[in-house]
Amino acid sequence: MNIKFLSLFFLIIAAVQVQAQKGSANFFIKPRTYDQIFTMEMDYGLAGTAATNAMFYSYGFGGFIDEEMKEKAAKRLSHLNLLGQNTQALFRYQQQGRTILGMENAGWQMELAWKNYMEFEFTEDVFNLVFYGNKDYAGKTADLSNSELRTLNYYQIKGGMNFFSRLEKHYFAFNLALNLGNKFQEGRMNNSHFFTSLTGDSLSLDGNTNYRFIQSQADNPFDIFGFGAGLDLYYKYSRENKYNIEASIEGLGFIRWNKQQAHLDYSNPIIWEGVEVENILNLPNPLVNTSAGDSISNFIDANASSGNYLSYTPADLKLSAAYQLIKDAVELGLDLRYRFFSVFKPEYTLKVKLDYLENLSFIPNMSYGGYTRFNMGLGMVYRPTTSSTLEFHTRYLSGIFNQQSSSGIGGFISFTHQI
Amino acid sequence: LKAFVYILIILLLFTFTQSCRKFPSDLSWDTDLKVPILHSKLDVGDIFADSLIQYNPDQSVSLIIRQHITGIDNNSLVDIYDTLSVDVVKTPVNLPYPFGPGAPLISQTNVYHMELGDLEIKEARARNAIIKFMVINRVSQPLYFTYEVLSSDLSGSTFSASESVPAGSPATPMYYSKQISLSHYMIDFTGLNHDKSNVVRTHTQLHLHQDADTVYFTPPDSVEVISIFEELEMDYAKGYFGQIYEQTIDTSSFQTFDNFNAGSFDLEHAKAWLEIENGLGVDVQMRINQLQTANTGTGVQKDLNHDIVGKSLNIMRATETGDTSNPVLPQTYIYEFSQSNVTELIELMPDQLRYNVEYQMNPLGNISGGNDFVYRDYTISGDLMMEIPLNIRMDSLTIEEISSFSFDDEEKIKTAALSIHTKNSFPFDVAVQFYLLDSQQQIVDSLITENNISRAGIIGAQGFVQQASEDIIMVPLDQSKLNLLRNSNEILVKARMQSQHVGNLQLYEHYNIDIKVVLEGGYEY
Repeated sequence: MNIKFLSLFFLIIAAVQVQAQKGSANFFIKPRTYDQIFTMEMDYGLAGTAATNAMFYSYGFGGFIDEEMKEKAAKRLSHLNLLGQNTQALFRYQQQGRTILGMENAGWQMELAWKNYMEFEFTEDVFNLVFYGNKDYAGKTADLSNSELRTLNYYQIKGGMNFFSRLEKHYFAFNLALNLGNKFQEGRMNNSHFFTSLTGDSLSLDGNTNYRFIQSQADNPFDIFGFGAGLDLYYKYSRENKYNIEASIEGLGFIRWNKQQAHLDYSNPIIWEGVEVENILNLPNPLVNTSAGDSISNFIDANASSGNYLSYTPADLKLSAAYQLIKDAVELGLDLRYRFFSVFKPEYTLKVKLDYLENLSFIPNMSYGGYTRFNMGLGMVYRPTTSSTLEFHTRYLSGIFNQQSSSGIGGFISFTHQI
Repeated sequence: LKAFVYILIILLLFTFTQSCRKFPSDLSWDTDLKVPILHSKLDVGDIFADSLIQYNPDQSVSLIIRQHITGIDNNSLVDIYDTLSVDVVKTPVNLPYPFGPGAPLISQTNVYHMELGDLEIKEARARNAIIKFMVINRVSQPLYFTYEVLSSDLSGSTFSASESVPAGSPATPMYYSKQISLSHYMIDFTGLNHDKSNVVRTHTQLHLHQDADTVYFTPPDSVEVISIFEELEMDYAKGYFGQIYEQTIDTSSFQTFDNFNAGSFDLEHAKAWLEIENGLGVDVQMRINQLQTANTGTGVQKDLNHDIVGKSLNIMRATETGDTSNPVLPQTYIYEFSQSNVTELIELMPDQLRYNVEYQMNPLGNISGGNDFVYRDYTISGDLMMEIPLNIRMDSLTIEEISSFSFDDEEKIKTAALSIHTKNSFPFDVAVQFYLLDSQQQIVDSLITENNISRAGIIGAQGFVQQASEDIIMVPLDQSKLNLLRNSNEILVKARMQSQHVGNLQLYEHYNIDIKVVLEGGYEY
């Protein structure tokens, strides 16, 4: 074991507090018997530090958020709160253990991936204004500072190589990716406050609002408004039947959005005193406009400017370590993950792999961080044949049983077939 | 294993569609809002809608009323509807020689003097002119004729028209008629030597048609070509237009007081004058026989009592400038009659102005030597002008308006109360009421059940409003009122103004009532 490497590894863990999210099936399959691998993966997660699963189920099924749901979520509020939704799906073809350009134990892979992120970071006051309204804020100032919104939908076409060391202790892989951007939104409110006058006859918003978005009337998932590049790196060190250590960075890259990208940078105070009516005897129609969407949209269109923009894609730095406590029976693992260019917080996962049968393992886990706080989950690895593997993992099992106090739904599912 | 892959694909598609869903999808929840929904100001201009407000240097406000008195219709001055030419081809005996295809039958210039009474027209430009031809062909072969108005000119070309006429016979003549436009041509009516008037010079050529067979002419064979002005609207005309007399008895509607259904003005120091503008190149003697305002609602009417009524007013002719874009310099006369009973005419809050006016053209005859002129866009007309300083006392003056509206069609508002925040700097109270109307515009209910008065501003010793008064008018909306609001499509808004002080007070430019409507209630997102 390389002591220097271990030291560096734990130093990194201590410094950036990262953790791998899911199983290690990404690049590494031992090529002793098989050297061609097909993989399909899907990963979905929706979680928040305040919003509860009860609210998520209402969101998912178009339901009603009642007072109890709001109250439970409100009790979980801190000054800044997170809400995130992340979806990824991929198909990969991989070859390993070949000789390429004189390099032995080499291989290559190509991959098609789809990634979707929707993230909010918001203050307690934003939550209260949205879910309770502004009536209780009459005569008060609501703090909106540092609230953020990010959405991103893009596709990746990847290609790369992989290498084993001679004794198969070290495994290294990399991917280069072409990023195809479909949707993008990025908004932030700096030093912003919302004031409702005591009588309610005026509302005002001050501070700085910075908002970028793609101007497109259509909602077509196949529209491409930007191109970019990406990089994946993966490394694994393993001592058979003892321990292994993995480190990877995935999705590091950028997208340069075309001139459909629009930017609003607004710092002037906005004061709203109702629809301006020229003559009170001529009332507007409709009398009460219950949809502010058009007004906001018109305001943004009037004040936004278009142009190219380069945005960075969320990149996951993952570190994980697994130690086999009992040979072919119990393995203890620790995953750490950190996501750059995201509101995602460092996430820690502690897991135990229990080999129930020769071809079936269960992996209970506990996690903390990411878009939410504490959660318990369960993974399962099933090998129906020697050439196929099914995996299912979720970190959000606790939310199923305790919907009003837990936050997080989602899971990771994959199928790997080797020939 | 295959089943698992299928499930995986289905889950993938489900996840994709879920991820693309827009927040908040069909999600809903209740909130309590307190939001301003309307902001408006009612100022002097809104009270006196459709009128001209004059802001004076001292910021005081005057009302300017301008009521138009229709003058003379220009087209009646030059009314031409007459035959231009009559050409006849006829033989008294059988002609012994044949006429082949294209053979000429007649080539004749006509000088025609139109009988137009006193009107002696020298030249005119037609804005819209239609010449109607009628050809009566008793010849058994088709004809071809060319008609030219020699005294016409458009960019150096004379008016010319050519037409084919089908064959006829003595027993069954072919009656052929055609309308041709002479619009925009300048027509010289002075004859070949430019020393006459009302003269039109035309030239007619008649041939057998090129497609005709050879024919022998006999006495029954004849052709008549008649042309007349079917329609003539002048852009410009010059000559002597005679001593035309016209009387105009007409009514124009007064809109200034449309919104005032009750109460009365107390007007002081109103000025009134008659502004007459003569854009005709004709001297006019004008007499106002009657000038009357009427309130058709109350049936009250009042005649102007002043020397100007019944008096002959000599209005001199306008002059030509030579500038094609602005060719006429009108003569303007102002007759002041403030020292009259004009305030009585206004106090009845009229909705009609009735007048009886006589016009006599060229009362002294042809003193211009035939140089009268008329341009289409210039005539003689009058405006009754009134300037009323708004030194006023409001006595239940009411303005009202019906608005179409919709309210909460999606039923998102669960509970609501409106509060109307007013800041009144007028020197009079303003009481506001909203009435919901049914489809027959009948009042179903009123929204404000309690105090609806926005109090007058605080008036200082000099009669100026020193400080605006602020009030909140509450409009609680219970479920039945909310439902009525949702089901009504029209609302009547009434504002009643009532002065509390004694005597009149001058209104100033900055006086207004600032109104904000706040909605407080439960709203479902």
